[in-house]
Amino acid sequence: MVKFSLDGKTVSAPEGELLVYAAARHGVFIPTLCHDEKLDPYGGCRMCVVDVEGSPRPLPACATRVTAGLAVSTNSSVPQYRKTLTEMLLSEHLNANPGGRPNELLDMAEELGAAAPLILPDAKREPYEDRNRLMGYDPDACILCNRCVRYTQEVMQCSALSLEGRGPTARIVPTHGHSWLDTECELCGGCLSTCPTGAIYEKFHEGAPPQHERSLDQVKSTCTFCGVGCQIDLHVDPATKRIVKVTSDPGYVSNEGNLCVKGRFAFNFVHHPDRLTQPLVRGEDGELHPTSWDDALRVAAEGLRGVKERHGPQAIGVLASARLTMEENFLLQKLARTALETHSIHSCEAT
Amino acid sequence: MGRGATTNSIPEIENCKFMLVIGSNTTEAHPVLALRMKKAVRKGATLVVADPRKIWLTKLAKRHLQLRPGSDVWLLNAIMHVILEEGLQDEDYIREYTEDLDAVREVVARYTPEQAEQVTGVPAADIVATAREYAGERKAAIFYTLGITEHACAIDNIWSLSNLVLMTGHLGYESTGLNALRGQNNVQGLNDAGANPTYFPGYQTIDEENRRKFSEAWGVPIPERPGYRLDQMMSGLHDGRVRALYLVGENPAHTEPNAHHVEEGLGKLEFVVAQDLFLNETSRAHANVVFPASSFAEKDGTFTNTERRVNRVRKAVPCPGEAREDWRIVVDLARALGARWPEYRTSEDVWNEFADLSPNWSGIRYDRIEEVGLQWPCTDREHPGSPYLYADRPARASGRGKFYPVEYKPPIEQPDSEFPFVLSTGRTLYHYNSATMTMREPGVLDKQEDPFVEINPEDAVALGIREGDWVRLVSRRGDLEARAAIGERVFPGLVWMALHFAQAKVNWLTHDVGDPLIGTPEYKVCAVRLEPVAP
Amino acid sequence: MDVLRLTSLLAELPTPRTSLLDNLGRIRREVGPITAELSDALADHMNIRHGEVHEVKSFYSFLEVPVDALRVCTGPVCDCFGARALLARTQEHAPPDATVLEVPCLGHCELAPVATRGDTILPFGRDEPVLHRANEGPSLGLGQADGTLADYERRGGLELLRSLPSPERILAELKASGLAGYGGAGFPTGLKWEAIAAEPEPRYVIVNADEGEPGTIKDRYVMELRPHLLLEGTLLAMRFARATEGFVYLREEYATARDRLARAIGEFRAAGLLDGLSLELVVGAGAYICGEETAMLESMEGRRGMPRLKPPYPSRFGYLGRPTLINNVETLAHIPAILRAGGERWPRGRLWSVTGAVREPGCFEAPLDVTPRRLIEEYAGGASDEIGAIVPGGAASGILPPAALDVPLTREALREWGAGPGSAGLQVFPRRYPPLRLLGETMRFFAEESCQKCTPCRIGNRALHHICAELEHGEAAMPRPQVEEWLDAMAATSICGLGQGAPIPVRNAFRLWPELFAPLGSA
Repeated sequence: MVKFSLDGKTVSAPEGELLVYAAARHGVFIPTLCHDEKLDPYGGCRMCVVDVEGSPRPLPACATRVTAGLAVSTNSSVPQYRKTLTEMLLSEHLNANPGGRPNELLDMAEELGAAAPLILPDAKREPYEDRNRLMGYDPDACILCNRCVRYTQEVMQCSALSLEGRGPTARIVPTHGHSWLDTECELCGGCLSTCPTGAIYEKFHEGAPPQHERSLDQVKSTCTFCGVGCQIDLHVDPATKRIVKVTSDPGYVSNEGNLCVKGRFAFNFVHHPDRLTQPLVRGEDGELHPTSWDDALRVAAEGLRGVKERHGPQAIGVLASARLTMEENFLLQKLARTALETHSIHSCEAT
Repeated sequence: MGRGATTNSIPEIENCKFMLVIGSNTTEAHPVLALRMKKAVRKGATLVVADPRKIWLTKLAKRHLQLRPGSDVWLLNAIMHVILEEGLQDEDYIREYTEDLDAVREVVARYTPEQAEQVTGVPAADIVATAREYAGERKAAIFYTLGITEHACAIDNIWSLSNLVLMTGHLGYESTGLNALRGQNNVQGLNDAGANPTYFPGYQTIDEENRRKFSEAWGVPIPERPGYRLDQMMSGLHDGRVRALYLVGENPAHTEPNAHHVEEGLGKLEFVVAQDLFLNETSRAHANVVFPASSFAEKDGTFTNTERRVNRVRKAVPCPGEAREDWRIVVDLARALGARWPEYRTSEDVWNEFADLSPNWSGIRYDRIEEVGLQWPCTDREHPGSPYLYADRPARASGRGKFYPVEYKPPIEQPDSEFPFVLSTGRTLYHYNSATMTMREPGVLDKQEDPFVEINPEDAVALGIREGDWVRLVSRRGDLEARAAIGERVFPGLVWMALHFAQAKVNWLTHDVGDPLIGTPEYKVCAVRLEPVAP
Repeated sequence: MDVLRLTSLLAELPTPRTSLLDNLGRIRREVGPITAELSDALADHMNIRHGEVHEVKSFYSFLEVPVDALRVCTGPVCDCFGARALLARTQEHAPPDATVLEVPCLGHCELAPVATRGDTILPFGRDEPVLHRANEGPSLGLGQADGTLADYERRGGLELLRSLPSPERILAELKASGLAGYGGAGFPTGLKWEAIAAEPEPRYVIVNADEGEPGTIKDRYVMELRPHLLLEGTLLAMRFARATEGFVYLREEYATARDRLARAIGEFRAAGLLDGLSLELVVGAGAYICGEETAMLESMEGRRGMPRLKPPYPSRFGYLGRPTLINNVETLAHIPAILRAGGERWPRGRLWSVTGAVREPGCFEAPLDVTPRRLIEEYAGGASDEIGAIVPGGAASGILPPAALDVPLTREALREWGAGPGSAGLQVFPRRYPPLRLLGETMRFFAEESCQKCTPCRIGNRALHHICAELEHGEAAMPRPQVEEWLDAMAATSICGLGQGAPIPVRNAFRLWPELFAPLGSA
């Protein structure tokens, strides 16, 4: 731990910690747009600049590390820069809500009372169309913070997104401007998750009202698609009681907020019309027919009991599943070992 | 070494300095865990990939050991050969914590890197370099999955890896260890919970003492006769040993090898109860009763992930129609069968019964895992959980890790003039198991809808097959059609298919001879021939 | 696309990431403009993800256009001397399959309006030889070109390299000479060299030959006329820094300099002067910002040429993260003379590019405190038109009225005018060329060259260009106080000199031509 000065107060922090975090722990919130803790410090949006004694110019708190004796001020000229930079970003922010995701730039503008003094004549970017059905992208909502690009380069390392070109025509696009489906993208949606303005969004929410995401209920749970056990937030539409979106939080231990294509997007099976909604019993005609729970349980119990009586408990096998919970598998083996009187319980997923 | 679990935690991966990924296509089967490997490489770690295919991770690898399918034992023995030959083993660790090294020393002495090159196809120099790097780095971890275990010699492979780890003392530290990456969300928990014929919940062996323990806890006698493993159940279908199945979320007609044979066996059953989200091939054709079950989003409970972490699952939406939470169905069926179980009001009641009976879990309780899951072993409420295992010593009763000498056995089915190609199988990123969930997601299908078979360009040219053509694959047991995906991911003579597709089940082709000890089928190697399909 | 040629070329191309820019250049020259397919093929060959090669190749202006493209310069001097008409004419008369390109500044301002066809320079848009107009200054002696290494040696060349003064002496002489970086920033060279000597080895030396400042042609003159002199200075730097690897990062447009340097490096190598050393020519691909030293490092490492955050400075964390000494061409070229004469006695001077409305535009060595009037009248043949405005240095140095013609072009004297000597590219504009247009064109240049990394530069320059354009119609796009706030934010919060310096000419114009900005209201 070293001591440094923050707005006149002497505070301490581990040497080398990024100033933005050290300041936050001491109650000084420094806003950022291009920063994501998962990514290397970038210092591009300049929203977090602070005055540092001895430096000819303010330095970005998201990329400056604490050293002993550092003297930091966040209140002289810094607030005005912040407001001006927000005005700049707003002057080419033509579509603030393509898909109902939160927009941190608008949040900041509201907090600072900043508005666009002009709309740049070259603000309109080349539109981007893509036949994929998962991720939408509106270049006019993009602030070129490059977080999505850096996510693909540093975290996924697929580099499916590029900051293309230089000057006013520069834009962020999937490789060569092709469809995401035709790049090295694996559709994990990590770019979407890190976008601070919602320029990349779940395509199935295109046209959703502003702040749509914030109107949804969230339930924290565990992903069902592999053994990593990613922690996820299921977003439920309170009106329809359906899952409409899956996200994850960077603070979640095993996955740090990262997800894969299945975890983020393959949730519709839950509400699929093919889902079984009634117990079925095979009739004399050889077909499966809907029936009541009581009837189905009775038929099942009689059938199993019959086999046990005729051939002994060893003739019954139980196959449990890795898709079930711990509790369910525990009960299943208890069922086998007590009610069915056999240790023959296994599953198709030995590993 | 004593336990069937990953030794280390996911967050530790990023601090590895050396990683050997063997038989794991991590970016597709465990994409988010693979992010930690990618991070480790970015932080300067050395990555070596041993895999018959040029999987994505080879792009980041310092070295790709492109071994012939089923030759893992040769490769690993040769690596150990180099380590012992050059004196790179950890003598202190071997002396303090292991037994029977000499048996292994004797065997691996015959496995020279030069001969390994002949058998595995991996250059001897690469084997030597890998051995030196692995042995020379403290934070050296090994990761494996089905590419190691889905062979007739699965146990041999695992023992080989275990020998390698013990020999170098790469155990009991952060960012080292031997990590079996669990393929499915709760496959770890499934075993932890005792859904296994050979042990009670919490890996408690089925012996006299434990039978008494569980009998007292559950108020009924516990049977003495051993239960059947999956492969024994499947063969029991044919010889009449097994007459009824209760299938919960399972679809053996798709997932089991030599699927036509399984299908035939299922037809002989007297009674089948199926419990699932959707009708599948098995239940549609064979079930007498089908219970509509719940998805993960419709119930409370826990999943245990590959790092032994017990994570909460929470009910977010109601079950559709009359579908019920699976645990309630099991309770209902037990009641219908006349069992006198206590009243389980919540999944937490069930958990507490499990935790009370299982010492390594007894410290894990719902109130402790609200925010962050705990990793077993966790023996009391004060125990912080165990990010990595064997910090003291191996978990065997002797406290010593045992070396098991392993000799190479070739895969059971070898290519020949009639079936000249080796078929290997595996998972892809875009699907999950029999794809009942992912095939219902159009946005994902855009990336991968049709079954495909990876073919080397050289073979494709020889067979007159072009990219995207339909190709018929024929084995001794069946045939199927898939689209040709031509590329360098496979070497000449090897073809590869994903296991997910209902209309082209690779298990029509695979054989069902499994490992004699654990019964895991040899999905990874069988012989096939390829025929162009006339358009 | 010639698939066979591509296949055989790919096999030759090295795969380290640092070779990316060079590989792209070679494919462009030998196969064709970098298309998506070529980009992906190279990416696969180098085991880089497709997207990363895409974003690198799209960063530069020239990788996606044919080598024989016609490029018409619309930099400020060319714009003043009819570049738009030349561009229109070129587009009209070019063969149908030819690519015609508008480019910001080709670095041949003395030939305005200038164009190039491939590596061929077209002075005034015509096929005619390129002539140098330079003086025989005491330090650089540009009055006479060195054809060969022998020519150079005959004039006393290599003497210093052979005698090789001790590092202590070199440092002492540099400090005594007062030499400060002539690329534009003016950092004392002695301090820079002292800093590098304190850093751990291995170290690198890089020659910044990416001269791109509009109106600046001096480094090109050095390289075309006295390439060996530059190399001697470079080798002295490498010996001093104990660096075994050196690089010359040269802008793509300088084809003649490229040839001369390549030949001179060959001669040095043949003479054994590079034994144990590697000196490599790295050719850019059209990006002004790569002249910024950290952007140059990124470019050399195979990434987009976007400036790094500073600190750390290159002397500590440079090429591939190693301590790196980066010097401008002209700066290095003075060093043999400084060591020969001794720092105290070295005739302090620098090269002035004098272009625009003068009779004999060229590049002249003159004292540091020379005035614009002396440069125009004594060196450049006098004004060719009634002078309306002068730009003393590069694009960001300020725009001055004729009243400033007698101000010594020193940092101190110009500060009073809110300007600076920058890269010493004196541009003389006639009265007929409106200062507002000059300012607007300058802002357009900055906007188009902005790497897009930081908000103030990325958006501020576009806004300022827009404000100037609106002012030409008497419209106010933004009130003056808010413009001042934007200028403050640009100057203070931009990452590199491009965004930090862009407000200088605007503020300078506010002060010296207030009437042009009346519609914006008062400050």
